[in-house]
Amino acid sequence: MLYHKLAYKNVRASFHDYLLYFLTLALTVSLFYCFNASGTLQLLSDLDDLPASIPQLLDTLSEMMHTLSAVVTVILAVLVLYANRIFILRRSAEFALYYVLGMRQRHLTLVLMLEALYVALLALGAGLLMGILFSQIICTFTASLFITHVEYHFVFSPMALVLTLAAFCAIFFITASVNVLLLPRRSLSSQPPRPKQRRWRNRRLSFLLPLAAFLCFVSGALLLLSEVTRMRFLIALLLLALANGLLLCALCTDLPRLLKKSRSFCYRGLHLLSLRQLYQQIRTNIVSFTILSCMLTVGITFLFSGLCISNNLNSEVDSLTPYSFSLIHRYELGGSTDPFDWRSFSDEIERLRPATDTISYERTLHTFRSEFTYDKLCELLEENHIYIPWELAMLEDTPIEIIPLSAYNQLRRDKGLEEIRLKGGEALLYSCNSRFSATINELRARHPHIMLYARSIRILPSVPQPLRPSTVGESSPEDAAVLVVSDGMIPVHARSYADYWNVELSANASTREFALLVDEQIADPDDPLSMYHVYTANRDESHENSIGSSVLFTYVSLYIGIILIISAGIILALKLLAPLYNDARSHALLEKLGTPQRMRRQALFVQTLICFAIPLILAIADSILILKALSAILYEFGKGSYGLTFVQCALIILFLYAGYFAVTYYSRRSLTTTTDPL
Amino acid sequence: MSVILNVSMIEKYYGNRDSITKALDNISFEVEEGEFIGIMGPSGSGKTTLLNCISTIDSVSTGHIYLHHQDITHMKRKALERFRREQLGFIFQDFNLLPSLNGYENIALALTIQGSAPADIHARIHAIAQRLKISDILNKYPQQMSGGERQRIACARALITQPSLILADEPTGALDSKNSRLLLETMEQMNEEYRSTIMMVTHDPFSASYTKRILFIKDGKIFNELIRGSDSRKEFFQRIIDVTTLLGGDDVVS
Repeated sequence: MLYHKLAYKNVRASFHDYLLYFLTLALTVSLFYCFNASGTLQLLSDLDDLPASIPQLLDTLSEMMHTLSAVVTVILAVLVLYANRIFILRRSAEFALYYVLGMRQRHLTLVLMLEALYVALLALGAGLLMGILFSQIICTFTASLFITHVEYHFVFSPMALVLTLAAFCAIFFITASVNVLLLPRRSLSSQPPRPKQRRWRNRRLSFLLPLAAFLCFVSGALLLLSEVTRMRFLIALLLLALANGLLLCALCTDLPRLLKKSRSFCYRGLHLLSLRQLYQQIRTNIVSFTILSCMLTVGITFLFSGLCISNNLNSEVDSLTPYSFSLIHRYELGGSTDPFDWRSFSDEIERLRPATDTISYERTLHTFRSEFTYDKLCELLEENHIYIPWELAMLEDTPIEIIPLSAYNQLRRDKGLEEIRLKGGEALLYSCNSRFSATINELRARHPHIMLYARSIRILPSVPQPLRPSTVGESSPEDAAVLVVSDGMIPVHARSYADYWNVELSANASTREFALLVDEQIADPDDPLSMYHVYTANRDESHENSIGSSVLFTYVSLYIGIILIISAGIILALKLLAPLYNDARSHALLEKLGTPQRMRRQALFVQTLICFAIPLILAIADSILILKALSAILYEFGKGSYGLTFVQCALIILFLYAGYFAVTYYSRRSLTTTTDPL
Repeated sequence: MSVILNVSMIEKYYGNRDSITKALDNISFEVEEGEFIGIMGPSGSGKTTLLNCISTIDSVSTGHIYLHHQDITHMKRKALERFRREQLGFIFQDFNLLPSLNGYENIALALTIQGSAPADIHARIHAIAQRLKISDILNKYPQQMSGGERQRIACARALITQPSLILADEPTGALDSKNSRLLLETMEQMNEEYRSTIMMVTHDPFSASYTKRILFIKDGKIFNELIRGSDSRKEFFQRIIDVTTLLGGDDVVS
C-alpha cells in the first residue's frame, strides 16, 4: 500500500513535470480515436439516403486510418519512451535516495510503473473524452458534405475504442519493460550527466562545414527541381537532411568566432550569456535538431500536400459542373469513329428525355474538330520556349475541340454573362483545366496566330471566363485547350467532335435520379441508340467524387501532419526542459547580480524561440523544395489557390508548434524561478 | 569616515502561526565606508539571514536598513534590482560562476547587466585582472580553474562594478588553506587599494582575523564585537578564539 501512496504522491508533486507528457498523451489518444472513428459518420443518416459511393468511400477511409494508426503507434511509442527516459534522468537524485534508504529494485520499479500508470490512465480518460467529443463534431461536419439531411445523434465507434486501447496498452507495456531494463543501469550520481565537450575550433572546419552544407543543399535542390524519379527523390531527401546537420555543425563552429568579433552586440545585457547557452543547446543536440527538422519536413509536406489537393478538388467542383446533368456523345473514342449524323442528335434526345417536370431548361450543342491537334499545340509551345506539361505531350494527334461562337454565347447566357463577338479571322483559345491555364495563357500572349481550316487565325489575347461545354465527372488533359470560332468559319463538312445535351434541373431535384432514368433508357436493349460512345455525368456524382477524394486527403494529411508536428514539439520541449538547460542557481545568481527580471525573461524567451525556430525554418525550406518537386502530382488534382492552403497550414502549425513553444517557455520560466537556491 | 550602512533594529521571523522562528532579534549596527567587517557565529545564529536581508534577497519583518541613507527595506522590485546592480557586489561560498562563460566573460557579465559601454569593458577588466593577478586565467572556463582561481574571478566580478558594499558569504568555505589565504589577501588588497567596504560572513576564525572589526551573532542577537585596532593579525586571531570559546560554552568568562 505504501508504494501506491508513494507513486500517487510523486505524481501529484511532479505534476508540473508530467504536464507536458500528459497533454501530449491525451492529445494523441484523442486524435487516434477521432481519426479511427471516421467510419461512424454513416450512422448519421439512413443508409438508403446515402449515395452509393459513400459506404465504399468510408470503408476505404477506415482502412487507411487503421493502417496509418499502426505507424502512428510506433511514433507514439518512441515518443513515450523518450519522455520516460528524460523523467528517469531528471529524478536520478531521488532514485539514489531510495537506494540509499534500502528500497529494493523491484519496489522502485513498481513505484515507477504505478506513476506511469496513473498518468497514463488519466491521459487515456481525458484523451478518450476529447476524442469522442471531437469525433461528434468531425463526423457531423463530414457527413453534412455528403448527406443533405443529417440527423445528429451520438455516435460511438467500438472499433476505434478497441484500437485506441490496444495501441495504448502496447505503448504502456513497452515503456514499462524498458523502464525495468533502464533503471538498474542508472548510476547513483545525483547529477545528471553533463554533455560531452566537443570543441569545434578547427579553422578548416569552420570553412568546410558551411560549404559542405551549401553543396548538399544545392545538390538536393537540383535533384528535386529537375526530372524526379523515385531514387533521385530519396537521394535528395538524404542530401537535404545531411545539409541540415552540416549547417548546425557549421553554426557551432562559427558562432564562437562571431561571438569574439561582435563585441558591441555580445557585451550588452545578457546577449553573451544567451549566445553561449544557445551554442551549448545547439552543440549538444545537433543530431536531435536534424531529426526534428526531418520530422517537421515530413509533417509539413504531408499537411500541405493533403490540404492542397483537398482545396484544389473542392475549388474545381463548381467548374466541372456547369449543368445539373450532361449527356456526352463523342464521335471518336478509343480509336473508333461513330458515323452518326449530328443533325439527328435532337431526335435521339427526345427518346431519352424522361417524363419529369424537374427540368428548368435544356440545351444541345455540337462541337467540331480540325487539323489543329495537341501535337501542333506542343510545337507552338516549344517554338515559344514555353514549358510543355508531359500530359499534353502524351496527347499527340488528339484534336482540340472547337466550339462555334453561337454555342459559346449560349453557354455564357446560361451563366448570366454577356455575349461576345468575334471578327473575321479571330478566335478564342482557353483551357477548361486549371492545371494548363497558365501554359495556354502564356502561349496566347506570345503567339496569337494559328492555322485553322487552312486559314491563319488570330487568337485574341484575353479570354473571358473559361466555360466547359458540359458537366464532367473529373477534369482530364483533353480539357487543356478549347477553341471558339465564328460559326461562319467552320466548313460545312467539318468533322464532328462531340454532341452535348445539357440539362439544368430545378433546385431540389436529384440529379442522380435523373441520370439513372436516362442511363436506363440508354441501356434499354429493346430501344438501342443510333449513336455510340455515349456517357452521362451529373452534378451530384461529380460533387461526391470530388468531396469524397477531398475528405480522404484531408483526413490522411491532418492525421500524419498533426502527429508529426506534435511529436517534434514534445521532443523539443522535453529537451529544453532538461535540468542541464534550466539551472535555477544561474538564474538566482543573475537575480542577485541585479539583472532586471524583464531582461532575464527576455533572454529565456529568445533562447527558447531560437531553439524552436531552427528546426522549423530548416523544415520549411526543405518542404518548399519537396512540394515544388511534388507540384506535378498536386496539379493533377487541379490548380487552386495555394494561398488558402498556406493559411490553413500556417494556422495548424502555429496552433500546435507555437502552443508547445509557449508551454515550454512558461515551464522554463517557472523552473528557473526560485526563492534562493544559493 | 562616513557611515555607509546603517542597520536599525531589524527582526526577522520565519514560519507560521504553529511554529515561528526568530532568526534575527533586534539587531542594530553601523558600517563605515572602507571598512572590512566580519560577521561570525555558530550555525543557525542568523548570520546568513542577516546577509540576505542586507543584500535584499530576503526581507526583514521589522526594522530598517539604510545604505547611503537609502532605506532598502521598502524598495519595489525594480528599484531593488537596480540597487543590487549598482550598489552591491557578491562573493559566494561556492563561487557561483556561470559555467558557460569563461573568466573574462563572467567578470564582464556584471558590467553588461549594468549597461556599461562595450568599449569600456575590456579596459576595466584587464585593469582589475592585473591588480588581482588573474590575467592568465581570464580565458579559462570555471571547470578548468582551481577553487582559488574561481574565487578570485568572483572577487573581480564583485569589484568591477565599484559597488558601495561587497558581501561575502563564507568565501573560503570551499577552499583549502593555501587558497583561503590567497583569497583573504586578495580581499585585504581590495579593501586597502580600492577602499571597498566588505562585509564577510564566516565561521572560520582564521578568515575573520583578516577583518578590521567583527560582530559575533548568537541566537539572532549581537553577542559581542571585536575591533582589531593596532593588533597584528595573530593577536587578533587569538582574541577571536577567546570570544569563539565563549560563544560555544556557557555565558561565563573564565
